[in-house]
Amino acid sequence: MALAVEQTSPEPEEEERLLTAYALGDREAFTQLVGLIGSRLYGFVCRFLRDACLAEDVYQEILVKLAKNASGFDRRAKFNTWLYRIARNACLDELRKKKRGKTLNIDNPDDRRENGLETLPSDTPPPDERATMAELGKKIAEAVANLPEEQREVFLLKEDGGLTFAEIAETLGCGLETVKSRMRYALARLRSALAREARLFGMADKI
Amino acid sequence: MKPENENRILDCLYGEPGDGSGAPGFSAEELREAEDLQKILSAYRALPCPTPPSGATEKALMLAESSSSAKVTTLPPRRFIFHPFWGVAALFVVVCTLLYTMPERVEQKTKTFDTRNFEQPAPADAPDMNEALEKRNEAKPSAIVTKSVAEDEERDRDNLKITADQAPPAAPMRRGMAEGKGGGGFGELREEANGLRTLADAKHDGKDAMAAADKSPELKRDRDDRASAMPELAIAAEKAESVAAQNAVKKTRQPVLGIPAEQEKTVPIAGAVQAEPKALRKAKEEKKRAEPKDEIDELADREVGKSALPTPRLTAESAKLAEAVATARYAEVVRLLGQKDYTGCLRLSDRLLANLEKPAENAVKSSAPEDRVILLSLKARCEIELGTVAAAKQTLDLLRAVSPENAALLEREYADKLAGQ
Repeated sequence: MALAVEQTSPEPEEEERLLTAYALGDREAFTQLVGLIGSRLYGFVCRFLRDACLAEDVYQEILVKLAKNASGFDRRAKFNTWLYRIARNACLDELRKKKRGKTLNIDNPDDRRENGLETLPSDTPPPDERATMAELGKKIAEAVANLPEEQREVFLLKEDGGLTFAEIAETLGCGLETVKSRMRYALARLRSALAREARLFGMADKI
Repeated sequence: MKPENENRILDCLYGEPGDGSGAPGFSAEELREAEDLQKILSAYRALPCPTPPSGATEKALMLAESSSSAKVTTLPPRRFIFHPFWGVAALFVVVCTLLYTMPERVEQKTKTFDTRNFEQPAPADAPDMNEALEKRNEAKPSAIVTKSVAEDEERDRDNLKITADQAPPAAPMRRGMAEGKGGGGFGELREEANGLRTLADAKHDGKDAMAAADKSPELKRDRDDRASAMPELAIAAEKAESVAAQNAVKKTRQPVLGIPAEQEKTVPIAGAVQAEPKALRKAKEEKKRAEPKDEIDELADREVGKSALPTPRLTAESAKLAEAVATARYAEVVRLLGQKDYTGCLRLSDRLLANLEKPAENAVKSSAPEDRVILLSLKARCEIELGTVAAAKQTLDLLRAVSPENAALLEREYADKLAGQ
């Protein structure tokens, strides 16, 4: 069985080229860049902050910082590392500033709507399967939101940001083994949290 | 589960380098865990991504550009007013003010006082010593300065004193301090200023020790005591003072007769133990005056026709004698001297005769040949009275050659004494 999963992040060279073009005065390049990274970045911010309204403000702030510091990007780090370091710092600043300890309540329809958890792709499966997937998404989102912050940020950077473990370590300023360890704990916690929903994953006979 | 196996699961899930793709060597449990995690991650990735807010890009661009242009603007007024620069500037001003208004240290003050009062050029109305000496030399261009050293020294000292007294007053603050009016406990500087003035007087022309002694009562008393105890010291001091004054005059005066002042012979101050105080010198001069000078020598040294007026020391009788000598009225001289002792009379006659033997220097003597007769007669008479008959006979012979009548007259008058020989 081949378990390796393809990472679906845009080409880094393309992102850096667009950023350089914007630094040289091409506003359209910035729009294209945001089109490439916006969805993932916003998803990371939403899941990191667990607050859609706050995520919008922070996302806006991150884009402003990106535009301001476009000429300061010196290519010593990879674009994704640089971008998600900005994003993480902005999220942490916002969390500290607002001192929000509120956790996402998946059962709250507002929270679900704000976090886009009710948004389903258009090419969704049939209704029964769609209901199952919705329930699955709800459970996974809840499990991820309940992860400890250190594990959550590693998980989000890996899954939403598409960074390698080495890049995550560079972004967070910690060691590679620390990142892997946090990731292991995060996965173990997710598996444990979703064990009761084994049937959703077809694992009922195995768990 | 061992950490190595967990890392293998991570590598298997994310396919990074060093992974165990295909999960080789996994146990059944590890394989099941990996499959479960894979399903969870697949389900998570299948979740719809939140849609970013529309218009966020344009808004971000606008904010970035406006904030970058705002960087160029100046500081807001509040920040400008409360900028740290003003604090540093105010501190600097305070320190400068303190340093400027703080009283100077005593050493610096004395130096400033000395500089302001004694090292700056003398005022325009102050007498110029060099100019005075130049005028004096011009008045007697063919003569080397022959004035007495003591006289020059007195004049120089007076000039210096005048210069120091006429020096411009100190700055108001210093003057106030010197007068004891200044605040901050500097009243004692008045005495210091007076001392400095005294010392400055003493510095000039190498006569500082003498001048300080003159102005300091303690030194003066000490000097007088020592001088009275050791007269030879006083004599040496007088000599040293004289030499020092001579050297000072040579240093300050203009060259005389084309000889530079520095090439003139400077007398070394040898044996100068201590300068003589002024009071001691005056006392010695008065003592010298009190002693009766040999009137005969004075009268004989007096040039005929030049000193008609008697000196104050002569008595009325002596004045007549001096007048008679000056006018070559030797008969009167003999008459006046005859009332006195024969020794003095003999000395005077000898000296006057010697003057007569000199080349004609004054018209009065040369036109009076009878003066020789009178003087020879007087000399002979005195010698006979004093018992020097042999000398008297020689004088009579000389008299006889000039005036046989007078010689015969004397021989008859003193026949007994001459025969008694």
